[in-house]
Amino acid sequence: MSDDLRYPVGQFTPPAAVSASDRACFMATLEELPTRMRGAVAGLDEAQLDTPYRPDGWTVRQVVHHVPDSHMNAYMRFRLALTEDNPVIRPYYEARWAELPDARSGPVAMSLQLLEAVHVRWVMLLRAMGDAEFARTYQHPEQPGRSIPLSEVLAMYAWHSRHHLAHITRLRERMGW
Amino acid sequence: MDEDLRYPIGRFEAPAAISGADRAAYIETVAATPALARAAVAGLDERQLDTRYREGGWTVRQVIHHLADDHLNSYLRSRLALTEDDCVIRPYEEPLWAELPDARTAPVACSLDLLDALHVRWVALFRGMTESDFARSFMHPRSGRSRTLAELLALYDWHGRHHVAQITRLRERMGW
Repeated sequence: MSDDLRYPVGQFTPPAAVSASDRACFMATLEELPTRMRGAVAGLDEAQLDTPYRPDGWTVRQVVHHVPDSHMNAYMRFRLALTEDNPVIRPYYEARWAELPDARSGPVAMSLQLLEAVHVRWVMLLRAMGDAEFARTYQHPEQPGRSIPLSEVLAMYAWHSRHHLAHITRLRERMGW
Repeated sequence: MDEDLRYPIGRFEAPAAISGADRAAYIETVAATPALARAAVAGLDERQLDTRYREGGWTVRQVIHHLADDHLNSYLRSRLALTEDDCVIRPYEEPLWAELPDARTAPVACSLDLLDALHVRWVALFRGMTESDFARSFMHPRSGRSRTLAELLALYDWHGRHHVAQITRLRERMGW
């Protein structure tokens, strides 16, 4: 854990190798996220939800809406990579998505519920995957020529889960909420 | 006959014009779709869920998982079109998605729950959209055809009812 407000759990470093037991840990992180996210915002009032987690950063509310939007994209990318050979995935402007009216002002309850439902389906998909499926790859158009294995993508989203959760829990610690 | 089984409420026909009142009615249908899907499969046992709604068609279970996956795609497409000009969306291989192991065998409850949660968010997005937001468009790279978000909304007014009717018609025919 660092004092970096933007990267409280550090930046993501792709692991050199991902074993089956690593994968099980990453899946457990994904499985636990919806409950932990609900816990992270429990008891916050509207003004607290509209507080940026760092200067110029997203508000807690925007973080809560961002996570299911991001993880639904991830769920889709897994399915694309499982049904096409080394497909190029579709990036999106996450900063713009987070500025749409629903993401700036919508009730967090709907995204907590959505996160729960998406993770149940996503984790079910992941648990049915074996070595061969996790070795399948996709390409990001901004990293041409690099084929990213799904095992690495899984590691990334386990990090992504802890990353955004820590934005909220660290803010609460600093603010004494 | 196969056409009737496959398209029980008819094929989608893009309306020539879509008024604010039309949009409001479509949004109501989208809001009601998860409950209609849940009711359509209520009380079915595992063997019934694994019955094809027509010969050569998907099983009831595949239809339910498809609804969640497809609407999830379209929710994301809605956001892409709202945040990008000249937006080109990413198609996916519907039949291959429906043959992945989870789509063939997973409990329908997980996709019914996902449909519930997703539509709450999607409807909130639609309700916050203005006339000019609904005029924003996206292009499908294969057809080269552009659709406005108002047309996407009209399509999803149809799409939910289309798949629900495939299931309810099967139940009627089978006496389930």
